[in-house]
Amino acid sequence: MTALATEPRVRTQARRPEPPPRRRHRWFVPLLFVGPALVLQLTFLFLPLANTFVLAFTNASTIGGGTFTGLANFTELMSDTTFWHAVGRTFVYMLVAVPALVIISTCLAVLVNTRLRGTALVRPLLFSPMVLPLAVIAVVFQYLLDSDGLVNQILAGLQLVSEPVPFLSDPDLALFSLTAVTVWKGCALYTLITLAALQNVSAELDEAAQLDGAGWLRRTVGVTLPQIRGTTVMIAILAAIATLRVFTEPYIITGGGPGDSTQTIVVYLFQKGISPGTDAGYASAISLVLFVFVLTVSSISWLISRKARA
Amino acid sequence: MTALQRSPWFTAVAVGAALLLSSCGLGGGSTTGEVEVGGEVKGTIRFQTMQLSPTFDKYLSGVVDAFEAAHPGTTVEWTDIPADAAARKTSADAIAGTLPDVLDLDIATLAPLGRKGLVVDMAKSASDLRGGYVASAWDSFALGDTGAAALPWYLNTPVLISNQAVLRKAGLLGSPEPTGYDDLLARSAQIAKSAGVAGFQPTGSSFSSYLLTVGAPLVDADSTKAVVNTPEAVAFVQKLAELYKTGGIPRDSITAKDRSEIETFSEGKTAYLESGGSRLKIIKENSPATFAEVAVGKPLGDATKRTWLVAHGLAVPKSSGNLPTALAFAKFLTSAENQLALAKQSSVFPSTTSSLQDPFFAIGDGDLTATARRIAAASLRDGKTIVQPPAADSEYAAALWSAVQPAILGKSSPAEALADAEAKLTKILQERQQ
Repeated sequence: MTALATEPRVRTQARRPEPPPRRRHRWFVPLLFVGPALVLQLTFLFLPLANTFVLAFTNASTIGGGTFTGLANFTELMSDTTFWHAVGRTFVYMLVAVPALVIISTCLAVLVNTRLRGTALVRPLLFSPMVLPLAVIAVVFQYLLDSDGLVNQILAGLQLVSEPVPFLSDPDLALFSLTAVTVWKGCALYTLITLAALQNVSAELDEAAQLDGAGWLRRTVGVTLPQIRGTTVMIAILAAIATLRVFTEPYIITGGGPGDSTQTIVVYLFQKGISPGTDAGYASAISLVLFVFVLTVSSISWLISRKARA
Repeated sequence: MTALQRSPWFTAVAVGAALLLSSCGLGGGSTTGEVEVGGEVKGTIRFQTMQLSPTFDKYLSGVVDAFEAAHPGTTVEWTDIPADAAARKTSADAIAGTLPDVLDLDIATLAPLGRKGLVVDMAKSASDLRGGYVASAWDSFALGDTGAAALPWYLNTPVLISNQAVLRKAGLLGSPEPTGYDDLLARSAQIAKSAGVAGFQPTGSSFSSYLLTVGAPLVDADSTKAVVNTPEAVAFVQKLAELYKTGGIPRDSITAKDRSEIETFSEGKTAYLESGGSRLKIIKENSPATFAEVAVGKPLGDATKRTWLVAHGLAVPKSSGNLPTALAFAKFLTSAENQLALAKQSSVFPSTTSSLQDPFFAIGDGDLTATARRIAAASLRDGKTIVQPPAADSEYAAALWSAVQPAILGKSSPAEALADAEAKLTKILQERQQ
């Protein structure tokens, strides 16, 4: 009886264990986790960014010194024709490169996504530009597009031209030659993103359209592509930002020339403020204006995409 | 309680603001006024060279040891940096106030420090040494109000390298060498016509030297106005434009990188290359077939005593914590005997006139390298080199080259292009005065 009477009590005790001691979180523990990343970000991103804002209102040089000059840099920038020509050229670059990048990468992604013989071989080839540094690509294209480079040799071999085409030394042609390099390099990444989006497209809708008698092209244009519109818009925004900040291609391949025909905003910024120029204040003002351009283009693209989604 | 809660934020903001302002570089971190360089030579100094290691490790270590032995109690900490990082590192060090005590720099990299008066003016602190240096080398370090921003160290000056195979093909083998740019341009047209090969490849970094050699002064007396739109310069650019059309200069020379002219010459695509004798080694290594056909002659500015010059100097920042030792070391390293020792194991030339009298620079017939050395040393010794105005630095050269490119391509007239260049360059010069 005693045993019967005590057994349930024991069970009850087993069901209700002692609550574990309350763990005390020190306030600094989360900081220890995010601290290193935060310090790196603060030192190498936010501090230089804030520094640029301050320098833009000074006449500082790259070796130090300088005083606050108010809006003098911006006033000068407004009347700097070289800068505005660089702005015009950069926007032309963007207007040519962005549609080309979006259209070509979408087409390539659709093709790669299609079950055809040889796509397994095409994929690694297609993505190879991603693993090459842009500086290397620029040098390779410099050799390809020279007057006695591979492209001109092929054109001459096919008897399409009698004289070498001055891809890089003609002021009217050089900017578009550089755009081709940007498109070639950028296509790999944007194709990969688009391909990832295509993998998530609903197969049922495609099958339904197929049952309705729609052909491959009709299904792709009418069913598949509308489903990845969000990704396409994102690619357009990314490409627009990248082309507004284009630097490596013009700097390495043509040095901004011939004349100033391939001088983009960032090339001009670099030449004024880093090398060979030393006007850090003016260069910072240029970078702030570029920041506004990037923000504006991104905002417009985002508004358009939101309207399209609605 | 409120005050207690706010205080960490106030601290954070205050620290942030302090960091921000200190990182701005507005303070500069260096002394700009007059400094006292006299005192006891002792203690530790930092010495920085530009891409001399590992080739000259033994030489520099030997000089450092000799200095430390001659001045007991001194220590020289030597570091070497890549040439392409020199400008960025110098700027960063200047802002941070951590410039080494003795700096080996070319004029282009040194120019911003010299113009801002951040380095010891050797024209005041080592004026007694001036007579011992090649005059054009000493004068090339006059930057802004700083009479001499560095003690001249090693120099280079060109010779005219020619490809005899191309000249043979053009029927010009045995003809007298071109004695100036007029000759070179006329001959380039002839070579293009007869041999289908370009005469030479103009380069952006040398373009201001070309104009100086043909007689355009580049800047006015007080370096506040560019002077490039002269009849000589217009004629020169006009001839280049004609050569571009006829193949007298390579088609890609307008957008080609500096130093690619050596590659073009090595490939047999140009007949002439005006460059330092050290390039012979590169041609020999990269293209033995072309090297077998190479001959060297006097530079194009020889007859008019307008041959260009490249100089490296040893500068002592005013921010140095040990100015007496830094200055003593710079003088020691640039002494005649130490410079001669360096020249004998390299392809550079000493900036001290007595070193150039050494028989080492007089011998050399048959061997191309020795012949090039003899010719270049004679240019320096006989006062045939001209100092480019320090205001015509790399920024000036880049702007000038960019402005004349459309004229060479035939897209604008030479007079228009040079007028445009003059306006842009004058703006750059005037901004520097502010």
